[in-house]
Amino acid sequence: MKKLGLRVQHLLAQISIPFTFGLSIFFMKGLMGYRWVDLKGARDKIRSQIGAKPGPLMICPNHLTMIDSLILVWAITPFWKAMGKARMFPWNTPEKTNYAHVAILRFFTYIGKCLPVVRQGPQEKTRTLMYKIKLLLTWSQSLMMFPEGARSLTGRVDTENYAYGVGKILDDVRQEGLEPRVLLMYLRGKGQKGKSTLPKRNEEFYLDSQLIDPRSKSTGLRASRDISKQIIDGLAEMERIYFKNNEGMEPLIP
Amino acid sequence: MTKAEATTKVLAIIGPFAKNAEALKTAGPETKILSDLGVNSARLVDIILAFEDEFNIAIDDDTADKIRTIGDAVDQIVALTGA
Repeated sequence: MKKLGLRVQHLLAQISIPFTFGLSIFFMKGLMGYRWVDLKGARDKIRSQIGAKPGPLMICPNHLTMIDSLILVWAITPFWKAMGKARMFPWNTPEKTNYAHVAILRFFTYIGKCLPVVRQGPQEKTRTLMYKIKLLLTWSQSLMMFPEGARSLTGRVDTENYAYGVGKILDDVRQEGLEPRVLLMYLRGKGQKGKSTLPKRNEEFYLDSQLIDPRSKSTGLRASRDISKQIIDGLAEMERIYFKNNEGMEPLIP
Repeated sequence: MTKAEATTKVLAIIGPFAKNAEALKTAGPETKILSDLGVNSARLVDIILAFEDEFNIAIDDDTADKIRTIGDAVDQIVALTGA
């Protein structure tokens, strides 16, 4: 039943792409005035990293605003390509309490390929989510998860208080014979000082991406921790390069 | 190992992760590690790994999922150490 439910959601999401992408890009580009430093360059790089080779993909971005996943989906590929290549339109795992109380948001997150997460929720819900995530990766889908677990309080990649959920999922699915690739994405609005609900109007975004292969010789929780640390360290390094190349743009703690 | 000894060590391990120092002083078996002591949920894994190191035990995922309170932690540790 869960398999069928996911298949239906996937189908409806793919069919709705012109509507969902059109609406979200109208909001971001038309209403909010968001733009990119080099969108074509970022897309070319992503395509060269993940485009040619099929297979499951875990996308791990840094996290500063409530619409990071929306901005990243916009960045990954134009909508007409997402229609033909479903894995270029990744699944997401937003926190349920952030949107579930608003019917219209429930609708858009459903056709936006979102699987709700309940932090510290019942174990049964967590197991169901894990089952769905494994299914999606088995089907060679792409999944976007924020490895920090929440928006960073400091405005920098949080190398201290990050979650180990992404590491656990990667370790679990590898034990079942899957080999998902991991794409780090570092997104930053040039005026983004710390965490916020939305980026400010007319924000200009920088995006970098890097394919990595985080692994651990340990097992269980230690493996989850090792893998998560490698992902966070990778994002922190991308951030260091960003600030090195943009001197004087130190983020402030909000 | 007695439950009292295990409790002392468990509280010492959790201490650095607890944001609510006052609750830690009066913590008992029913004290919830996350909500009462203010421990970040992501750090619960670090705490469980610290239990493994301190007590020389292996805690599997299912057992780890059952640890919600100080009493849960102590019970699991005492069971796993065979006391």
